[in-house]
Amino acid sequence: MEQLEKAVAKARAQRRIAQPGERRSPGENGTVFARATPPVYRETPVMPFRPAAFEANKVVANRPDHPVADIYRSLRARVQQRLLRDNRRSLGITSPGEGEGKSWTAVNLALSLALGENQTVLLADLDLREPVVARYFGIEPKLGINDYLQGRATLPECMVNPGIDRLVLLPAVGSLGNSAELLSSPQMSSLARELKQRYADRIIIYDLPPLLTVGDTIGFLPNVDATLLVLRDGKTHAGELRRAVELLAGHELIGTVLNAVH
Amino acid sequence: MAVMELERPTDYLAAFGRRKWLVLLVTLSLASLALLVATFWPPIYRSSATILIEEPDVPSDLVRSTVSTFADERLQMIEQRVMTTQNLIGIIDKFGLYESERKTEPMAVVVEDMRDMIDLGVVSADVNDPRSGRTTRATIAFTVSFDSNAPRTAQQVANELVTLYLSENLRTRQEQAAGTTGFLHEESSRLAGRIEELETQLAAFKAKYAGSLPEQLTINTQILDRTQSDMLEIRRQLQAAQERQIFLQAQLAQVDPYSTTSVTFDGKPLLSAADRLRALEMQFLSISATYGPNHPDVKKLKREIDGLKGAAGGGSDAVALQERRQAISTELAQMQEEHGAEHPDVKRLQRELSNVEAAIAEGANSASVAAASPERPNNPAYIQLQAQVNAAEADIAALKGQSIVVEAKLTAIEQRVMQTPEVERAYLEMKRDYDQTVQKYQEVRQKEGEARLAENLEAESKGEKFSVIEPPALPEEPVRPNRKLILLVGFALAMAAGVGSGALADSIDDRVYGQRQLAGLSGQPPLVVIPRVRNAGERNRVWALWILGVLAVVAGIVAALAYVHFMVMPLDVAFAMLAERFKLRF
Repeated sequence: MEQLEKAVAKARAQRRIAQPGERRSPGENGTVFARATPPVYRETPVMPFRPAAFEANKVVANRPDHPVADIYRSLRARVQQRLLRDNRRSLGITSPGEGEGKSWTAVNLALSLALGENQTVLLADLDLREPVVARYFGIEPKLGINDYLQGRATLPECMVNPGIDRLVLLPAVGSLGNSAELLSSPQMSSLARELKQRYADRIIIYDLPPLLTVGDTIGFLPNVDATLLVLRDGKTHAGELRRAVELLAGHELIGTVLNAVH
Repeated sequence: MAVMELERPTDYLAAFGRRKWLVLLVTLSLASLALLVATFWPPIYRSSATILIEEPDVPSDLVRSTVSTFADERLQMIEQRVMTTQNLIGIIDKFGLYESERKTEPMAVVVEDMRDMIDLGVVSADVNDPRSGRTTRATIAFTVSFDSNAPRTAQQVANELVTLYLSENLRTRQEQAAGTTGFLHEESSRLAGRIEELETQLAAFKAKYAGSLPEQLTINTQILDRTQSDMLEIRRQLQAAQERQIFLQAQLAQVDPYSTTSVTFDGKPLLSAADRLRALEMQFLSISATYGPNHPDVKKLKREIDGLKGAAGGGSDAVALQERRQAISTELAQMQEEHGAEHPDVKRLQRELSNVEAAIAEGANSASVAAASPERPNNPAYIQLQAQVNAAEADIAALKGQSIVVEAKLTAIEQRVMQTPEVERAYLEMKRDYDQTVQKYQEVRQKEGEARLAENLEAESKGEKFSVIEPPALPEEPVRPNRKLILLVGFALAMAAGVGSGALADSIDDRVYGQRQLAGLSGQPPLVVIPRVRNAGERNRVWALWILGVLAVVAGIVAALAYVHFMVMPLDVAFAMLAERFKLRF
């Protein structure tokens, strides 16, 4: 199994090297939607994920035989259906408190979507205090969304392909204590707008900070088309759940995910 | 608060799944506690005796016992007397009980502990009371038992207690009987004293009002009647005497005291001595003038005059002496004028005068009465009448004296009779008091006799008595604890407590569990429910924990067994002991 994944990654890496000239700007790229062939990210550096990191972080959506992968495929279908029906393309994943599995859900969902047919996915890590997405994939990118926000890099420079077709990551690097201010900044809004405009058929998944413990999460919500609330079974208190549902009421809450059920 | 009520069986299962560790922990720890208690609770042995309360040997119709309390009541009383701290301390000292407790606890606490170990049970039966015909519950026997952790001690103390109960019963009954007798005796002697006192009072009363007593009324009345007739008789006699006196006096007034008509037997008039004396003196004066003093006639006359003078009394003598003194003093005065004071005749006259005066003084002293009556009546009829008058007067005087005496007597009797009703009232009162006291005294005497009989009954243990029908035996099996029951109850309680603690934990936990709670709170079911995912490392860790846990438990059990085997007692002995304690038979 591991060997197979390594082989695949190696093959992809070779392909990336073999097609260096296929870099395209978003402008000349028309609709990706109808294209049968997987997209080729000329401008996005490829950093192949480490399967060991998937194993360690229990990322299972890429395993065809894993029962949880099936559940994610089911979730993928529901999410796709809801988003495409209303022509929405960005989805913010959050939870009432810390450690309820929102990043894990975001990674698995993004992976599941990308592995499905004809869907490109951008996974952006907006939990700037504790960014974990890159770690889940076992990669260590040099630039992250925080560099872009601080004007040290362009957006494309910050993106990375983990070696999976139709999946691009926008990781965060290091920890930023003042993420609250950043999330509600105009820069963030413009980032969201830009990401949306750049790839018309791409689903953008934002891994957001906790809704109730980080005050600014709510400030970013207007920039997303829909929200998904992740709860860990036996961790979230009833009051927290109620408050979270209230806060998300105006932001197209498409549903909840109950995580880590015994 | 739980987020939502559990509704379906699966909810309960899920809740149990969530709390299984808590439930297990609580259940297991309490169960092992119960096991420890059941194993190590020291055995308690009970030795008990059954004592029958026997009916009196002598039927109660013949001799009624003065101990009239019910057997139950008396048992209670005896229990109180037996269970005194002093008695119990005596038993503790005698058998050396509670040695370790006595070192740390005050005696009162130890005694209280001992009291808890003593049990008095009552055996009752439905008895048909022949008198009332009703069925009543009566105590026919009782059991005394003592619990101890040593069988021998249990038996010894139970034996001691039985002895105490028996002797205390005997003593109580005898005391009660003796108390009754003593009281009655005291009462009877008090009444005897009272009777004596009343008798004395009565006697004094009778003495004081002797004659006025009601039983003397008839006699008094008779005496009164008789005395009254006596009185009448005396009055009548008195009246007759007075009439006679008046009549005699009237007669007397008509008779001349100095009768001349009366003559002597020779025809001469009968003269009184005085008349004759006067006549003789006249005659003497004339004769003496004729004849010399030695003339026989003169002498005869002289003698006759002297004799008559003696018979007539000094009366005439006194008159003669007066006349003589008169004459002498006249002559003396004449002589003194003529011859002077020194003349012998004068002197002689003076001497004669003093003689005469002395004679007068002497005569006045001896017979002054005779001088008052100048003369005695000499008429015999008069004298006779006079004597009759005198007799009547004496009669009257006697009758008057008699009448005074009788009158006084009558008054006294009348007073007695009049006093009688009043005396009777007081007397009856005293008599009634006396009679009542006597009656009471007789009653008390009778009761005292009965009580004395009953006392003898008790003294000879012929009354109701206790007899041991089952002496305290040496207990072989402990009466407590029921180890199986402790285990059963302990396990049941442990399980209940475990489940309860789980339920409590779940009820105070307000976190969201399961999709139904989530759906209820968020308004819609979750899109997906993702089970917990474990990677290989985590799975291995869980396995490792399980294995470690099992190993630890096994090692702990082995270590405990080893400790018991080497430090406490060999395992086979320990096993045998456990089997014995839990009464397991193999």
